[in-house]
Amino acid sequence: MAAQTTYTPIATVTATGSTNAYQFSSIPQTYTDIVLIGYCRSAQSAVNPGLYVRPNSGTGWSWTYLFGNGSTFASGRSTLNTGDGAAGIIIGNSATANVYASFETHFLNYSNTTTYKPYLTMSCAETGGAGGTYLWAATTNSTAAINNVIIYNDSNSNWMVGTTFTLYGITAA
Amino acid sequence: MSVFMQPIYTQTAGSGGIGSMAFNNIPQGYNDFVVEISARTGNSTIAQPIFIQINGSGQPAGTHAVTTMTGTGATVTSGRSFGYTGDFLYAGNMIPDSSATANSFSNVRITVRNYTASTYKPVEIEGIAESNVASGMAITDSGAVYLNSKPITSIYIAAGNFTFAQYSTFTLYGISQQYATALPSTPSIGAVTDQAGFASVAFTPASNDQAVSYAITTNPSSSTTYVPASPALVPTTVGTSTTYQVAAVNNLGSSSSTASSSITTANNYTSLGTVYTASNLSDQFRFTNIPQGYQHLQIRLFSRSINTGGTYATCYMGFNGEIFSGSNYANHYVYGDGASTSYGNATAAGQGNIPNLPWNAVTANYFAVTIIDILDYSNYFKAKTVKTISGWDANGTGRAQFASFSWNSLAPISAISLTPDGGWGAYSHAALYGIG
Repeated sequence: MAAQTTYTPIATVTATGSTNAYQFSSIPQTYTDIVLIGYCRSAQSAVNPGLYVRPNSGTGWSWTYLFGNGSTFASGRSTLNTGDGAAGIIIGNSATANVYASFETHFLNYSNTTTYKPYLTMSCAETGGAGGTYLWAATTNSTAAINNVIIYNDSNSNWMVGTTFTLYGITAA
Repeated sequence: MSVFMQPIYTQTAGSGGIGSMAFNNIPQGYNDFVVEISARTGNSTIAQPIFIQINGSGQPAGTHAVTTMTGTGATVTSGRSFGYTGDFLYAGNMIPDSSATANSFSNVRITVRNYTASTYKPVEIEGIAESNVASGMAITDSGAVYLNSKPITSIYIAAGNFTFAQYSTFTLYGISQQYATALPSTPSIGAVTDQAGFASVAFTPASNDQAVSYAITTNPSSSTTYVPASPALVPTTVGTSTTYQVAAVNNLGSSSSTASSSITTANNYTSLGTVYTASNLSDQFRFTNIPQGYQHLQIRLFSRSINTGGTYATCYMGFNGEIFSGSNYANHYVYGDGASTSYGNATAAGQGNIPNLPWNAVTANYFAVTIIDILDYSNYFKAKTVKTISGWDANGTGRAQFASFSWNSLAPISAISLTPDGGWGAYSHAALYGIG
């Protein structure tokens, strides 16, 4: 097997505290997969606001999730364009100071124009007494290639300083 | 005749301790080697035995024979084990444990004579677990024979199921009884190539150089690696421009080459291969001859099944040619299907289970995302553990799933097969990556 190094940073954004959504646009179509890594905290006055990750301007999706918060676990779904579609929970501004959530979203085979695009988000928000873990599977229900991804949270609240989002490209041999 | 004793590698356990210690790729240029151990462990029976594994797992039955003699200050006992069928040599009580006086550490020496010869290898082990309490002293001498004519290239040391405590140290020395008459001649540095987290350093020894080993150092300084011959595989700091020097070593000193050209390793995530099908495929996806130079493996699977026999499609994973045979695999999973949750397990199975894929009745074009992590795949002293996150959604049906399985084998993983119920749907692909 031929080996080649990969996992290439495409772009990174660092929150200034005054922006409620970040978008990666004009994503290069030259990788096999793209991976979005987030480290984030919202200005929303809640402990665990919702996280939203939307490819291609956020239309056409459906999703299924599995969630656990330490005392219960549950599963739910939406059909095409129904339901709010939080890809997980994050840390809000009423949580313990300096605590951030992390998540990763995997878009496999994102640039093909033959199949629908599945994407999978795993998010973790732990505040010492509250929080939870989400695994969120979604589909674009479209054969269009993914060329942009937007990230926002509940009530369009601002992302707090310290938040970073990085998009990576992975190329298979 | 003087004896030349060359330190080859040393490690000190940091905070939290270490589970075991292994010296691999032992240079073959010495007559004998010695391991010096100053250690403490976590059992509560005053003195804990030491276990030694030579040349990895999978040794044939009867590989070790050992005779021990132990004195505690009150009694003396002796025992013998012959034809032992396990991979480990039990070398007697010589490691102080958690009930011993604080800060008490062992003094253990393991000596292996003529370790590169094609004869059986005698092993001498002597150690003390003195902790200054009446019931706590143990002095053990062990004589053992490694009943194998292969040269010894690795030695693994453990204290049963217990961790070696912080500050425990392990040092490997090479011993030469052939006293050099001059400084070794200087080797020539060669090409350095990126091996994704490692650098492969080529060099050419001088003729009749009187060297017993070669030491590769880095600039900026991060490590010294001793090897018996070119090329040397040296750990690197990813993203840092680094040069390398090789020094020939003998009892009189060393002679260093000039520095290599600098090289900056790109990252430690490497694509190893992809399997893809453009049409429906009733066969396995296979990865074979997997390189052993990485720390972990990851498989990124984009797939659906053509199973028509039910309302689900599981994918099955097997290692090293095993699949649907034996009972080496144990599985656990939890999933949500949008309406309910479920969990389960399967022990003594013949395969690892990778959770549910879209099956034939699911509308075309819907695929699953599956990320499979296989940690420490190339080690030979742990069973292998596999972690999977996966999910798919088909606008009304779907799954989100966590799963794990273990493969109860100490063999390094060199081949992987993936077999879904029914076969692969068109456009499915699996990509294998090496990490670290």
